[in-house]
Amino acid sequence: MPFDKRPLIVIFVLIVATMMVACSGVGSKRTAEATEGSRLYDLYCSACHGDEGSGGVGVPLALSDFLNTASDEYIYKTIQLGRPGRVMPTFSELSHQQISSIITHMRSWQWRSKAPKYSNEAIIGNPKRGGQLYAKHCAYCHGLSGEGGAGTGVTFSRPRSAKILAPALNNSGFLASASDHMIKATLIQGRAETPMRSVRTMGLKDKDINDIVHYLRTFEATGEAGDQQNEPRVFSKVSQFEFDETLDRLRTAIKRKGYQIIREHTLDAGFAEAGTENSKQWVIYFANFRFINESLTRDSRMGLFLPGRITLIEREGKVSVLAVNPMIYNQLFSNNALIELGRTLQHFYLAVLGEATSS
Amino acid sequence: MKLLTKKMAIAVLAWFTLFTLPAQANDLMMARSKLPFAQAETQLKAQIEAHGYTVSSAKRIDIDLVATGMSKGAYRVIQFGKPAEIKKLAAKFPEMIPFLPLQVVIFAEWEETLFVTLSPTFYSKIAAQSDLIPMYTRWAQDLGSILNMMREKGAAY
Ligand code: HEC
Ligand code: HEC
Repeated sequence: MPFDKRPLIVIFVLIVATMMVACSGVGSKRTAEATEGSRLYDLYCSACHGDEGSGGVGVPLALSDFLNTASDEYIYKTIQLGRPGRVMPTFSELSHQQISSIITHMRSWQWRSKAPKYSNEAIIGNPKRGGQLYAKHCAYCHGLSGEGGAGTGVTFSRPRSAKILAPALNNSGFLASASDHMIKATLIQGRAETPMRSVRTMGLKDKDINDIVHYLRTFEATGEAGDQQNEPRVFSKVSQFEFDETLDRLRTAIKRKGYQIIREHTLDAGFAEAGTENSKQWVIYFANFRFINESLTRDSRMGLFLPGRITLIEREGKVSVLAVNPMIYNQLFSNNALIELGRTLQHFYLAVLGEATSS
Repeated sequence: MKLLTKKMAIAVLAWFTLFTLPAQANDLMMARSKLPFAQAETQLKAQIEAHGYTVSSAKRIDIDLVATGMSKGAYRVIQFGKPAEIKKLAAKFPEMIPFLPLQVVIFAEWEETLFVTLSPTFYSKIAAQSDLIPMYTRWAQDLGSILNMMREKGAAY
């Protein structure tokens, strides 16, 4: 009996075609999300974490031990909440869709396993004992109160060969993002290629780990440096002297405080044609070694405010002296390592402005 | 009256455009490029000028650090702006003066180069007048585009 194979072939072709369309549909949707995630990652994250998550200013994100123990929920919340005061910004303006696609992109660095999921149940141990274990095994890297290693990235502040900085475990952003079970998994796994070893290699048993995890929860969450929210961004003082006299007094005060004047020119230097500059808007740049060194070692982005700068203006017959308030540095860079420096520099600026404008 | 309403409408529109621009985290914009430092600096200046701004200075600020061997001296602050805009802002809003002109900090991190600048959202907090919003919006677009160019130039490298 002759057997007509044609209908079968048609059906077969149809099935294959449908499967191909279906797969490519799923594929292209996922690809589109990954592409968008890659774009957003480049825009918002790569400056600190490196193009492929290899680290730089921030911790590396592409480590397999990290991706294999971090839940999507942890990464999601970390992006939303940041690590206030520890450089990692708060990305509260990103939409759910945008954060999800960044995570999809980060997962593309991961080879083997899928994203882990954890229960949000608390781990109950003996926090007092956990504290003792923490002081013995963890504090020398993470700090006695969980404040993390000092400094920011590798640029300037630390040589290229420096080890990855231990994150702050008392940070509000960390504590709100990590579940107890995820912390436990992290401790057991450790992070190969970083100084963070598995706690198993420290001889710690399951009960010890539970005690430590419970202890970490007792850290007082720190983050936002609240008392600086109301600081003015700019100091402005009206001078009781004429323009030229105020300028002389400024120079004297700056030098008396041990700073060198580096350059002086009009605000429009480089903009206005020679001879037409507005000499009543005068900028003085100054620095000394310690000032530049301490600024850059605390945050390599501090060049935005280097060298130091004071501007003298005359407007409607009034002479005033203007300077950026150094207390805004730590807010702007979300870096608590700049608070002390800001305070010192604030005293300096206020003293110089005071000496220049009144006797 | 009619003119006022129109101006207000433009301001309101511009205000919303500002917040629908690629939302900017905090008050900083940052970028990383695979370009080595010297090329990155040249490219950055060229991009700034291609966007219609004048580069007014390129300050080195790490002289002392080099002396101690802490860095390779790859650190610059590039200042720029549109002369008329800087002039107008300085005349009308003295509290803006300490932040003028615009600047991008550029420094080497290993073989790569990083860029940091204040974002226009920061400026808009200092002088929040609605008639400035179209200017902030354009700054945000231009800075975003300049930084994107730097990322891409690096990718091609
Ligand atoms: C030798 C230094 C060192 C010691 C000791 C150490 N850590 Fe770490 N820890 C690190 C570093 C560095 C990282 C960041 C690794 C990375 O880049 O992913 C880290 C990461 C972590 C993380 C993940 C947090 C985050 O934001 O990524 C936790 C939780 C943690 N450590 C807890 C502990 C505890 C608890 C102990 C003691 C049992 C401990 N660590 C001991 C250096 C150390
Ligand atoms: C200005 C620099 C900077 C930017 C931009 C930045 N981060 Fe971070 N990030 C950090 C630093 C620094 C840390 C470590 C904090 C600490 O040491 O306490 C960190 C930590 C993290 C962590 C926790 C890692 C761990 O081991 O648990 C994740 C996840 C993360 N960042 C993701 C992102 C993503 C995604 C983006 C972009 C949306 C981003 N970061 C943008 C600096 C940055």
